Amino acid sequence: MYGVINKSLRDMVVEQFGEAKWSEVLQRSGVPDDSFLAMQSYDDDITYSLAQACADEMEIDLSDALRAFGVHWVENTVAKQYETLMRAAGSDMLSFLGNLNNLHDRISSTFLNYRPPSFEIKKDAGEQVEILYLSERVGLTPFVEGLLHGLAARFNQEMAIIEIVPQPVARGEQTLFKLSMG
Amino acid sequence: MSQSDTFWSELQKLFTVVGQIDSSGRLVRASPLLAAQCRWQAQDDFYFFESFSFKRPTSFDGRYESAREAVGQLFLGFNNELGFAVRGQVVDYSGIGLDGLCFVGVPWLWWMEGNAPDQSLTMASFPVHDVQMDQLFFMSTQQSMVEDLQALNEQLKTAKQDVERSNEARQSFFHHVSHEMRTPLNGVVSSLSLMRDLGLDGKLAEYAGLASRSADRLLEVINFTLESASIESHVSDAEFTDFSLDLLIEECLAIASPLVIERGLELRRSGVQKFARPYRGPVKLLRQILGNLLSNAVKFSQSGTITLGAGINEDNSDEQADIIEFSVADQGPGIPDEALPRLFTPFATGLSAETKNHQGTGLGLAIVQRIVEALGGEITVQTVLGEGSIFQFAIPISHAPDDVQIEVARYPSLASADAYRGRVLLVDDNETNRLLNAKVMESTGLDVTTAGSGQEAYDALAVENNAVDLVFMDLDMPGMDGFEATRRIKALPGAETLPIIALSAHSSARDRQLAEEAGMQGFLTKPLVLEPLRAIYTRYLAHDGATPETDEGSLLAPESPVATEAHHDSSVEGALPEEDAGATMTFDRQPVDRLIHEVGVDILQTLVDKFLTESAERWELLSGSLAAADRESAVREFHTLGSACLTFGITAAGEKFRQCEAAAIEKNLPGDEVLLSIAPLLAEGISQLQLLLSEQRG
Repeated sequence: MYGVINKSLRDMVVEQFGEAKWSEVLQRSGVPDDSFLAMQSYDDDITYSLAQACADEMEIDLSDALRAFGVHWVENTVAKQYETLMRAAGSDMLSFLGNLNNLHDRISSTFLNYRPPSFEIKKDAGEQVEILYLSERVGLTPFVEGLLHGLAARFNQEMAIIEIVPQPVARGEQTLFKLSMG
Repeated sequence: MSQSDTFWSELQKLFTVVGQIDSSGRLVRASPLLAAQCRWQAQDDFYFFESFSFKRPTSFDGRYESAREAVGQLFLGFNNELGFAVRGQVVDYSGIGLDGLCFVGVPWLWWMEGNAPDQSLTMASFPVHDVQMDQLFFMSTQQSMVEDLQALNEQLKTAKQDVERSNEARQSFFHHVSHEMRTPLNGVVSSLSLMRDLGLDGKLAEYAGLASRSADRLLEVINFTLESASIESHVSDAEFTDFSLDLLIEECLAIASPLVIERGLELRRSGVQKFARPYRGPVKLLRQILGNLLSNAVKFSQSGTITLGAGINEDNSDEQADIIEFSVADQGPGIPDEALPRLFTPFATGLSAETKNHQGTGLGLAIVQRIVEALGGEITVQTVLGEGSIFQFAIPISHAPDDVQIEVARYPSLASADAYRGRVLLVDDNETNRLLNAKVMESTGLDVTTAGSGQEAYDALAVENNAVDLVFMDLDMPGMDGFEATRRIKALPGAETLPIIALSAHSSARDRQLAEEAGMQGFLTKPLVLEPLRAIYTRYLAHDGATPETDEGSLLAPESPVATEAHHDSSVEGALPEEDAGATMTFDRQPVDRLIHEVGVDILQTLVDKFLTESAERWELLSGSLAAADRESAVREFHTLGSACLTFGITAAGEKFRQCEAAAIEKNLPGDEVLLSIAPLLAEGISQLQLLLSEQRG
């Protein structure tokens, strides 16, 4: 993953718990240093190790840590660094989600090693929305759950995740999110 | 749908800003985005080219005709009031039904980001092939990247400063600790050396030898630590002086000669090449390199010849310098193959079964290598087991102007050291003075024994009164003083004619008279210097094949060159010490320079270290004596401290001690507050003395 992800994780811990706690997380993770460059690609294991160390240090489940990180990613990192793009991608949650693949496609022309997830959005006539999340990576469903909560907050969208249904898949991860959006 | 409508529709799939402009410049058809941003409706009179300020093309003047001439060029235009800007080109599709000109393009994102950030452009505002959104993402990330790098740079800068500070602190700590360790250790080394000179037997000799070797080794390690910490700064700060390479080589050979002779080896210089021109370079470092290599060669050789070579490498295009190739060869046991890779590694030695008795620390070569490399050279070694080794290095040395004055060698030659022969007894209760003066005397080739009191001297001579040819007797000693000791010695059978020379810190007429009355033949004022000593030697000892002079004229007369060698005249006897030291300088380097010349800087450093240890103890004693108003003891400590200070050029403090001594003798004992006025003078003098020695040790 790119350095911007790891930086965001660090920022979340520093903002909420301070530098000392981050030092403990870093030490626990075994990652030798935290001088991440936003546009440099790092081994996925670094991100996973850091996330796991965060969870261990906070004495919470990894999924809880990833959910919190998903919210932080939307509310802080993306909002601060890519606000124009966020605005361009949609003025409401549904249109934003609809543009997300398009946004990731554009990013791919700059970040050549970028392996973005994709999202298929289905909305019925009522308030129910289904989002099928597909990724080459495994274990990031809770992060997406956090992203959805972060987006709902950004767009002042009432939203509840009714059900999270893992889908059988040969490689990577595929999850169906059933949402209720008022 | 007409062909033109179909084409119009296709254009809008490729571009989001599309406008058809008639020949009057009026917008007659617009894509939804253009219409919305320009708040245009059909039938509105909206003159497209006049409504925007175009930065490009530069040749475009806003007229329709001008636009036609710029077909195919990039158009960049903005309207501040609308908060909208366009980026595109003008095309002429009149042939396919779109009369006039068409503008096809996209919103100019960069202008709008800077000037109309509130305009709600969406991804739909840009066709998928347009890269402005990609650029925006790239630039956002790039900005983050720059910030990351700046932050990283700051971190590295801070870390570098931290490391440098930490390094300096560590170096300073090591340096300080090493110095602090060296001072008492020098005392241990000196004492052990003296113990061994006493002629110990059996187990005592064995243990003293072991202690002495261990102390020497420890001292070498400490010296290496000090040198290692400062080699780079030594090289960069090294004093570049004009020198004669021939003289330098002769000097190094002269320094090595005594040990070479002692070990039954031969020492020579190879080749006949003489260096006609003077050079300019770090002569002290060169001397250190060659000295270390020669010392190493001597240490590990049982027999054979040690050869020092130096020559000019002609393969050199630099007209301002010569490449000088040095070599030191020995015929020692050679170095085993397995030892070669770590030969220049600190604490490793090329010890073999044949050389294992020479317990060096293996530090000398490490230092040599570091200095050679710092001077731009490389040291190599060739060795054959059982035949010997050759150490070689080549370094560039700059030419000096041909007319420079070259400093002559500062080390006495062996010939001059051998000028006098004889046995001397040196009597002095002050250990520092005793050691120092013994070294001065030994430097002229004499066999010197010492005694720490008048009683000790008398006892020694009572056992064997012809054991010495000449006695130097300190006058002021506790217990049996010099006058009494002389009288008793002279009373010994066969010792009536034994020449005894008075040593005194004072040169008062009364002392001279008392010395003469006690039977002394001469009078020298401390600190001792070589030339007056030579006059004594010439008179009383054999020298260069000559016998002692028979002239019995007194050397006690004040006008004699010996007697007037009083560098520190105590003309203020009896006066109370003044608060102000007046014009007396804190430190006088002249006596120290002279001692360096006479005994060498290394020996002098050892003696100074001893003096410092001893002074601290005596200071405590003096403080106690003053507090207890113990006049006799105070006089003795004032005297001893004053004498030692003046010996080492610590003038102001020495004079103060002298004044106090004189006052105390006159029963005017100062209070212990006088020490407060002496302490800073003493500290400053010691500091300057240490600095001078440090400079001299290079």
